[in-house]
Amino acid sequence: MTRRRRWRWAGVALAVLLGLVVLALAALAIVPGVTGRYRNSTPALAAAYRAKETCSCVFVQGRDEGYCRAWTVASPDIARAELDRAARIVRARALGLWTARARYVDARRGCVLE
Amino acid sequence: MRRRALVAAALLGLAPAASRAADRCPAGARAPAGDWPSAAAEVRSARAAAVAALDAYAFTLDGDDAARRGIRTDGLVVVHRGVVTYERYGRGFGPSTPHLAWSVAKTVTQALTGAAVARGALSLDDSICAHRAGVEAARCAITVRSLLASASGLEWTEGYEGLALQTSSVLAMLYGEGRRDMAGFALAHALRAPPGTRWNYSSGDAVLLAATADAAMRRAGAGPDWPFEVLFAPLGMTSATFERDAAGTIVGSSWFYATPRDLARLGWLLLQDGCWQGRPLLPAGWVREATQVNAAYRTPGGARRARDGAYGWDLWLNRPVREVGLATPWPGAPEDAYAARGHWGQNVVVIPSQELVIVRTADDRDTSFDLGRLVALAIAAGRLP
Repeated sequence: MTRRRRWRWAGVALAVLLGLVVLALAALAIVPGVTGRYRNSTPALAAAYRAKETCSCVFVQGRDEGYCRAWTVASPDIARAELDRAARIVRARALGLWTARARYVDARRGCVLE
Repeated sequence: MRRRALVAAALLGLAPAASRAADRCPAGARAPAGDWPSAAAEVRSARAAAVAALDAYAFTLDGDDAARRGIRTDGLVVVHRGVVTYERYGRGFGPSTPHLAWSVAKTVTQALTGAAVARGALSLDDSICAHRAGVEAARCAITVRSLLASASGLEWTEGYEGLALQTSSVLAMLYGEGRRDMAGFALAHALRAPPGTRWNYSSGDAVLLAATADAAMRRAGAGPDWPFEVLFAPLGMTSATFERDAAGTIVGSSWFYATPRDLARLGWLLLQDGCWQGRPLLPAGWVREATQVNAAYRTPGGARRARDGAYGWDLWLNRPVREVGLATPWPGAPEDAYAARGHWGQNVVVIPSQELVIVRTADDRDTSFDLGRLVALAIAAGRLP
């Protein structure tokens, strides 16, 4: 391998490395919202939306879980809700790490996002 | 404690300006004591073609449900001269299913503010600082009136879809960093214009208004459920739910739930100049001022969409506004029409010249719905024979 060829390979490796860094930064920007005006990240919003809207859909509106699941699908669809009918609590989780909880209070006050 | 209870009783029990009420609020005016009377079946047979056209426009689904395309009406109720003349539901909803009203809540907050003003708990020109401690001095120029006009001057980016999630102020307030104390979150934004001068549609302003009216009523001795005592119970809105944040602030911008039949009561209250069964629930002149294009709206600036409407006090109006290049927003609807409007197709339309209220609840996920067309079809289909 000539000296020139070795340098060329080093350049390609450097370009690939830089590309990966850019991609990682872009992913960070999408996920925790570091480039946005507000600190809240997309998965945090997704979990909170799913928890609160599922809670109200089921306990305020009295719709069934299937309807409420479909109605609360958001984009990106990364949050899942888990319903505790006895305690009237909905827990939601997005991408495993971000969680939110909504609690039904009564007929006048509906659900509160904690 | 006892004195406080007495003040509360006076606040909640006394009809305001009782002596003048008789002229303004005729006792014979139609407002239901219980459920709305219905002539929907008779009207359906008397105006079969017009009713079929309304059915077809509002209730024809475009594609399968999961695709969320087109006009997706959940409930449609028309009230003419105090009688239900059209009523239909879709997608699993029914007459007793409350619907999320989204920003129709802002008009509910406006009416609650009116009820609080009628009781003397606060005034239109009160600074928010008269009812809230710890506000930075420059923001004390924000008044009740400027909040009703959505013209606090506070920085705000409304919008749900179609923009980066982290730039939406309303998403940050409802579900993000602002959710635990929404009024504090709204108030922490930069003051971009002198209060009252620049219109900028803002859920933050509506939440601040709800927080201000609530603080004023509570200071006057009312309990936390005063919205039910001064407005929802007198109107017979038994299905009403108004949610709060973790700090106890009423989410006056967004999280109000009621059935379409109960939302029609809000419309009918406005159509009757704030009166209900001969009793004034809102101050004299309130509805007239709420249905004028507000001065801040006439000043260019702020994000306007041609089909939304012109803005009064937390109400959208079908008026052209030359100063800002706004043509008649809902072609096909009478020019005196005004509406409470919410995300995804919620509408409570009031048409005084027709003595008609139209309530539509929906799950529109695109912009194909045409309010002017619905109003024209509902007027043709929904008048008593």
